[in-house]
Amino acid sequence: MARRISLLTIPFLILLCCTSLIAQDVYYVQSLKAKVMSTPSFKSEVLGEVSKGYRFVSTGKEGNWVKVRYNSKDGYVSALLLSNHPPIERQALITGEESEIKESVRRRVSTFASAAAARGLTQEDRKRLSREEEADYESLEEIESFSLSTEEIIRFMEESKK
Amino acid sequence: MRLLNGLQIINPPSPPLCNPPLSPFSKGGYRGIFGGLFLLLFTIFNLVFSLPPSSAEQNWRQRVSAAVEKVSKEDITEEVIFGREIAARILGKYSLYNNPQLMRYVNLVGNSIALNTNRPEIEFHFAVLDTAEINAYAAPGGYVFVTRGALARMQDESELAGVLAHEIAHITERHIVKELNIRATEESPVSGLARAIGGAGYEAAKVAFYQAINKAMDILFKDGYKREDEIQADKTAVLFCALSGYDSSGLVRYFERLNSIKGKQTEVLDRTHPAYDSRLSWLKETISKEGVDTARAKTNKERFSETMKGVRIRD
Repeated sequence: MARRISLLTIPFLILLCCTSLIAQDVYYVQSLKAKVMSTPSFKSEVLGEVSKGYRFVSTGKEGNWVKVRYNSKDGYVSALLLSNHPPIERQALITGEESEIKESVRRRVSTFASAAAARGLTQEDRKRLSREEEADYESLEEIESFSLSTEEIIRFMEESKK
Repeated sequence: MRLLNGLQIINPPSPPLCNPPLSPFSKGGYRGIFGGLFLLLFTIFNLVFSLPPSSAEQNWRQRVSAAVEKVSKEDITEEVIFGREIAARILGKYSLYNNPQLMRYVNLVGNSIALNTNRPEIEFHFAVLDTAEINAYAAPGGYVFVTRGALARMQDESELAGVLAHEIAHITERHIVKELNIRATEESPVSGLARAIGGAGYEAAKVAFYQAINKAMDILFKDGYKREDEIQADKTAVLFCALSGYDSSGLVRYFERLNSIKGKQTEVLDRTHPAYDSRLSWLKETISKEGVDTARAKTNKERFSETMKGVRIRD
């Protein structure tokens, strides 16, 4: 009886190992759009285009390309456009507290820099502190306050195709 | 996340956004021959599929994309907070080149590439630094800078796109973040600082945070990124340009031009990056291997020239 079990178990284990080789992973498109190519090359035929959040089931990777099933065909999508979690929206990271966070960061840096100079640092570190403490938050906020809508960026990209 | 006395408290890390793959060994062991056979087969599997990299250049493909990494929302918040500090330091070192037309243009080109990456949660900001030095910098969390001196050496939009794509790749691949372990963990200097507020370890946490900032500045201005990170950023830049419709050989042309410039203008750039001969070699190899079509891709020379008219980019 035990011998029969062992004979049945060995093929099962081999099968288990084989299935791990072709394990299916789930990927989500993170970019605005992603092209599905027929082979893992930019020069290949485009099978279609999908949008951010599209879910792919993959059967493997070839170089920088993830092999996927798309419209009942095998296709390839650049790994640079995918992650194995759904896209995270920006507002989920920093909500209405954003301005307070900026303010707190500004205060924090000034506080820790002076404290750091007082203790825990070598003479070299202290010299460096006085040299490099300067941080320009005003310019940083100017940069951060400038924003473009996705539509503007798409229009810019479309214009360049003409 | 909440704020207390103006200082930021980071919530305890949430579970990773993706679960680790289930291990066949996680639910108990196998006995005797079955266990041995199973172990043998998995050992063979692991040996075949997990061979250590023989060289950074050959194995950059295995490292491409953060697709398989486990990153939580708290990790990303820490990255942005830390990167913001670095960006402020860069702006303290060089002045911001204040030209609204140029700011808009650089942001349009940069975000055209950023939309074709796997980091939609990051808001990318692009700016020009007012210095004749030729260089570009990336701070974690989406802050990208290009110098006025670098713009002066470019001849079309695809060259600018290539340079920005290289910096974007340092951010999407989280090179500094990984190097300095900026995560929502106990070891992170950012969380450490927030967690220690008012406590006995606060001063030490502040010093640790300050030192992490210094290390990041050293990477950018003194020591450079790890060689494999630079290789990955170069090769990824080629692919980002291709995915965005830009001529990927723009970066090649730009590097070929810079290769003939020596002196103070390129001092930091030369000190912190691999030699141009190597960089050009792996750029061309990537274009060829990946089947990137450079002949029909856009360079937007006219739009670039038109934008640069009236912009003081040379001293």
